[in-house]
Amino acid sequence: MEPAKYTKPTSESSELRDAPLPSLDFELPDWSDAPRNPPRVSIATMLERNRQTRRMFPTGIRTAEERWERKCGEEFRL
Amino acid sequence: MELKDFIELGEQEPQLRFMVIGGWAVAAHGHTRSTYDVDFMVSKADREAWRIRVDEAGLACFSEQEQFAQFTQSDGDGFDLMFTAPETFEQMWPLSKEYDFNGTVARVPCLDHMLALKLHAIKQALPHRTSQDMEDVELMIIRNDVDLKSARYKELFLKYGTREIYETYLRIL
Repeated sequence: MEPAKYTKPTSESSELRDAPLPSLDFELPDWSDAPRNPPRVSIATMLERNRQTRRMFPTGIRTAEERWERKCGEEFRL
Repeated sequence: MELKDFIELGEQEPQLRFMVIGGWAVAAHGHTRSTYDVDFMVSKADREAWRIRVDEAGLACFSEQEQFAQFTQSDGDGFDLMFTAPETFEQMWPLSKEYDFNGTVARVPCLDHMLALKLHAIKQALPHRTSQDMEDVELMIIRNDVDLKSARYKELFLKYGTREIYETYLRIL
């Protein structure tokens, strides 16, 4: 049997789900000067990180079906 | 097989021309991120030669249509071929750049053509990929100091994307 890909709701999570919704008046921090650049790594590091992720989370990698769904229908032309 | 092995496939005699596109080409243009497949753009004129070579390498064809062939292997990166019209490929090839992928050199489309490819994909609003394509474009713009307000990039964004996409980037960058 295929392992479940999500966690079964428990009585505790039901409490969270049924909790009253919070106010939408948030006190959010000012992020206008937050850095926009994610870290840039070497190609060697990128290769190794990809291998690690593939080893550690094999079921998290897109399946062939999911990859195929992402293909563009309209041909690219210059 | 992984990136260098696929590049070596194209380098076998007789050499078959290709440009690395997708996540590895985005990395070549400054934005390194996770990617678990290797994408090549090839001319439709070389379609059969590529199919034979990939078959000989032992990859299984998952699916194929006019513009794409997708291959899988039991362990390792997926491999996708994007078949493009010969005239488009011949326009892109001379402007493509050599890039050293950790000791294995291959060509990637020039920055403007990479942006055009990504905008073309974003324009189609495909589920599950728009957010990543948007981030790729954003980071390629930032990393390469692209002047979005210039007439050249406005024209490029409007030609391959939409006004809405262009104005979104103007607003967030």
